[in-house]
Amino acid sequence: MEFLPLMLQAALLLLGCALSHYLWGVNVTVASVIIGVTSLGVILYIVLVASGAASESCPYQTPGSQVLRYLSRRILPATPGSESETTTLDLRCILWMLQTSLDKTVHLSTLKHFTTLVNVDPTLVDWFDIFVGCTKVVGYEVVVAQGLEELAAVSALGLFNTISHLLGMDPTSRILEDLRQRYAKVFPNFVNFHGHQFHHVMCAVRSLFVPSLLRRSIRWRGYKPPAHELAVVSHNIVNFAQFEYQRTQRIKVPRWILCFALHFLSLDPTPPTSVVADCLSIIAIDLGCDVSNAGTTASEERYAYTWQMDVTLTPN
Amino acid sequence: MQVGQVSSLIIAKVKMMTEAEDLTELHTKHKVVVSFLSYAIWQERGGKPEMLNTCLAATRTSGKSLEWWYQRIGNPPHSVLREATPRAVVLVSPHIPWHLWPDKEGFVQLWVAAASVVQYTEEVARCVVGTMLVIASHDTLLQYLTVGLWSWLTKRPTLHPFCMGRDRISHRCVVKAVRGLGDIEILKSYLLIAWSEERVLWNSGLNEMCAVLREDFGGVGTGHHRADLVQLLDQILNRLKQGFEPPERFGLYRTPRSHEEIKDHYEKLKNILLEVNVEAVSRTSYLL
Repeated sequence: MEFLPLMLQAALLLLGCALSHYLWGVNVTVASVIIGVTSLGVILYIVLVASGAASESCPYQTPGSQVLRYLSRRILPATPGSESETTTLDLRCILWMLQTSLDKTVHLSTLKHFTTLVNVDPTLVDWFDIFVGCTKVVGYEVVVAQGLEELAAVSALGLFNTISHLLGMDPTSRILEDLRQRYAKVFPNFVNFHGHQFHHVMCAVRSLFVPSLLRRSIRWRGYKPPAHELAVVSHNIVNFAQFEYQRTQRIKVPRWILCFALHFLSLDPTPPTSVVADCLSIIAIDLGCDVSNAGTTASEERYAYTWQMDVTLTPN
Repeated sequence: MQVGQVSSLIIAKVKMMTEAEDLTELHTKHKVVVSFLSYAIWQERGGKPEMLNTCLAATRTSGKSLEWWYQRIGNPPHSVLREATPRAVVLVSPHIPWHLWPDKEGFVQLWVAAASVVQYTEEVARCVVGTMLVIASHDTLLQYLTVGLWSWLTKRPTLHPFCMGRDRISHRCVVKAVRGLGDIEILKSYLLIAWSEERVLWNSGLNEMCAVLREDFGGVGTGHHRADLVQLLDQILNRLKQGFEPPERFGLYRTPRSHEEIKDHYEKLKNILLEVNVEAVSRTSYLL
């Protein structure tokens, strides 16, 4: 069925050619007009196919442009520009959905997808506000409102992403300081996140916000997150390792980060390649190796992973 | 590819630290070095032993245990080793105080299965013998050791300075266990490994060794064995007379008293051997 429009277009082209040929013998002036119109049609068609093939966001998609795009992907290496274009488009869709959708499931899926995107500014969403909206501190215990467990976990991950992003951009930023103060206001130092899905992520957030406190309290042994969450967490932890190593004047990476690497490298079967790469990067950073070049491929691998996530999230 | 790049960086850096004159960096980064041990074990299982070799070489050089690693890998601590190759099990075992774990038997069974099939190399032999001596020093675990495993002693490996088997090699129960095998070649190899100027012998073990020399090496056909043992004792006593000092990096602390004690022990052993030799010679001439 996909070929039907193609056949119709081919038939139209043949009719134009045949008519031009026939009229050329009858009247050259009339034939010239027909040739001009047919040529214009051909040129327009080529432009449309080419633009459809060049950009997925072009509204004029034809079967030809899809075939061309497929072939160009097979033959030419991937360009960073196309990736960033897709990411920008994703981001626009995500923000539009978050602003317009009232459906909680759509909202949650969208936020979940947002956390998996790399090279995207996570501060576009106020993750801390969402997290606080889902939870309540009773004494030193964190209680999650009924039915919001998953949203709390996703927002904790988003908050983790945000801190990683801000530390990477500018550790002295006002936004980060503001976030730290908001965190300190809501969560007392010895607050207990135990028993929740976001326990490990929030303990890591606390270790970053209150470095002097309970670094040893993160026990990664019980941490069994879904694969996409693990990929995001491990990526951010490498950023933290890099940041902390620089902060301590190239002495060491905090032990809770090293324990993360040790735990996930000890799993059998081993976690996804990107996570293994991140864990080894943590070790390499602590040993004083320069892993800045090696990180590029890791993010490419991760991008490929999040692209797969796109496909699985489409039905939602 | 990317994992490979980071692995290569780590291997190169750890090798550099291990081969350096100053081991301060290796000591301070020991926790980091052992953090990738599990991954190195998986790599070795996949036919890439370089990472494991590098990690263990660094551990041997630093003389530190793998405590940071085994306390964090799960419960029981040898859960990772269950999935490892026999070579990895054998090479890692001397670095872990498995004899302090609740499931000692489970570990020993795992180790015996690995050591029974592992291919010989000098390093493997050192590790097998080192761990075997620790097992033999426990009465309850001795039953797991087969004659095939004891025959690793005949390879006569030099024990690692950090190896726990070095401290236990002269335990009375170890001497008795080797003697109980009834194999003079294994017994001689055991004594050749056990005797060293670096080591103070346990008194109970020394008495048992004296009995061994008198009763098992007094035979007519054991002259060449006695000669080998006397030769080693001479070398040890010579080195002790020259004021031998153990390498400081391995932390072998010795007081002047223990220095004299070691000399007394080995002189006593040599005297017994010479006595036994004289008796054996006189017995031979009597027979002739």
